[in-house]
Amino acid sequence: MKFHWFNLMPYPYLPDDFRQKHRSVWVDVDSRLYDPIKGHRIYHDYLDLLEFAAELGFDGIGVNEHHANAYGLMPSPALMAATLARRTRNVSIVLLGMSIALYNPPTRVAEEMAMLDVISGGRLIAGFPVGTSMDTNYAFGANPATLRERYQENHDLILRAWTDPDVFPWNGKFNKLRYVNIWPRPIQKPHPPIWIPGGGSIETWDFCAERGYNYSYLSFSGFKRAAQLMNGFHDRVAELGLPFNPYQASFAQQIIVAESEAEAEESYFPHAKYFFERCLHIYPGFADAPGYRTEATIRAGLKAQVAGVSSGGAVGKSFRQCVDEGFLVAGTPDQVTEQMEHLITSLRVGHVFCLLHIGDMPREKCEKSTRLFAEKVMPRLRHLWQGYEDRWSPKPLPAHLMAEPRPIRQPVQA
Amino acid sequence: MEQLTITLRPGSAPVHFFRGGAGEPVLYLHHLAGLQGWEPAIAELATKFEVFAPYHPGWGPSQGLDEVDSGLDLVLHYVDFLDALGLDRVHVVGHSIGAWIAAELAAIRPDRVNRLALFTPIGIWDDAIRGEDPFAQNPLRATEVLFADPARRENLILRDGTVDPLENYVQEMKDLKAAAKFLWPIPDTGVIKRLPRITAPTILVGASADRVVPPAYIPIWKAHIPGSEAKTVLDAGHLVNLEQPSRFATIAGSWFLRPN
Repeated sequence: MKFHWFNLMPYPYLPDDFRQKHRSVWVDVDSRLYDPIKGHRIYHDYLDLLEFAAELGFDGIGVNEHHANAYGLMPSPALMAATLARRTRNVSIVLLGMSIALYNPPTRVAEEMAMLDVISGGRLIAGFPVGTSMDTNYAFGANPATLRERYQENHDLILRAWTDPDVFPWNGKFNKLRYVNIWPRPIQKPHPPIWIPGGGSIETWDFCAERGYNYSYLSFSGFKRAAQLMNGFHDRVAELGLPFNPYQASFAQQIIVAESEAEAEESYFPHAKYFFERCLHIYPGFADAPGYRTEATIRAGLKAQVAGVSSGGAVGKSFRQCVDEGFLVAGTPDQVTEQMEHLITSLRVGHVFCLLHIGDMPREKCEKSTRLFAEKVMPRLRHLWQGYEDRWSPKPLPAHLMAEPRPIRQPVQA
Repeated sequence: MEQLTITLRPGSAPVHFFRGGAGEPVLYLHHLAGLQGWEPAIAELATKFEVFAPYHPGWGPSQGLDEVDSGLDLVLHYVDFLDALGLDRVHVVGHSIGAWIAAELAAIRPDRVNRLALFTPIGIWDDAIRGEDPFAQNPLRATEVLFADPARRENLILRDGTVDPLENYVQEMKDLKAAAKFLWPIPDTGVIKRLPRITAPTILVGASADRVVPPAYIPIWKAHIPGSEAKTVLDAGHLVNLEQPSRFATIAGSWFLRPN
């Protein structure tokens, strides 16, 4: 069983009346709410936490891509991954986005990910999200009617740019390049493992199953609501006659570990409320541009709504409700271990993105919760899925080939 | 009235269209959210003209959005449509995105267009006017913004509960997706530079409460189409055909009957 530490990097200073005074945390969120001097501090706090998680033995540390968004301060996840690649050893760099449909030409993605794979010594996981409608259609202006077609073409181009050793022309519908020839090339052959972060798009199941990619279901609605979608993926794999492997599936979960349940509720839960109530406050007109979801996915979603498993949301719910309904895995190390085991076995996932930083949680609290998870929860879950081969983790260079930073010091003056 | 299909080229998706009435032929090009069947405004026009009202490729039952990528493709699609029906020269009433297509057709093939009526035309952008984004609405009420009185959607689109709201939602998303293909993210189609080529006598019709194409756009269109005239319909939003069907049919009909 593998665990990755993941931080959305929210802006933690949204005002108390944010929901009342602003219609959306995303796309048209008021930029005057952002203070870059505070921003300077929090970038460093967030990167410190990611590096700390690597030291504690998490398998991977994750970053992702959002635009015009007060809960995700990583419009360029490759920049974050670059600093982490240089400051960490051994840990996987889980780059769960670049939103490949947004790069023109997408050889930029092939180049930057190849750079990261080379800098990190082959520790990169290459995430290829479509991206949310807010990010892609509204903030970046990508046409929703052609977004998925563009995604597909860009995917094909990036893969060929990584694997074809010869210079080739690319005469696509969205990209015309006379000379494709990226430098550098990735260390991992034929290319870094590809993970597809998806919401509930059913086409993504087929894409991951057929291509052998990891299906990463990212939701803030918790694991109990995710079972139907996760099973949908496992079912597709089985229908295609492919073997089940838990490591082909991953899930993101918000987690709080404290000394006592009372501490989890009193000290930590307010930060989850900040996340649910301010960070997920999205104007519905930006949530789903016409054409962003295919007709098949819309119809599947409607069926799910009729069946009563729609995401709902955690706004206004108590700590107890959030835990009972799976929005949060929270409590003492024993309680969290039990809930995590239930999550892992019910969703049949071999990778979990542990969202241990939530909302406006300060670094000290997050550090404590992260340490408790690493020391008192993780070791008790490691045995799960023994016997399955994880073919979706990076294959780094052997230790003797791995370079390290070698600072050049000024000679000491006599 | 009859509902028909016609295949324009081997292998291309059939065009679904309505045909009805008798008289000089009129091509009716619908708005961005599609056709509500044989609408009252079309039926009224058909008391004086033979009206052809196709679904654009990708809207309603017409497939084939993949076959059209640009305004030029849409113009060629309608040239093929007129050829297939043996229509040499037609009056054209274009509405919303249909007005853009009609204007392109008249600019590129002036020989095929007799007289032209453009209602709440989309396709020109001015930062100082803007208007509401038709593609950034609450998806379950996506077309409310197209009405002067949003409550009228209940009657005119959902037919007071006789249309299944979930099916309607799927259809609206499909129609708006097709519109988005040509109008996303800013509806500047470049038509403004081709408007001076239009030789057909043209009337431009704005709607006083159009929140998507505010009436302030009408003078811009008028200034670029030589000799054109302009009118405004009161108490109507972008879907002036649904909110004021009789005014819509009367304005288009009397424009087409006016001697050249």
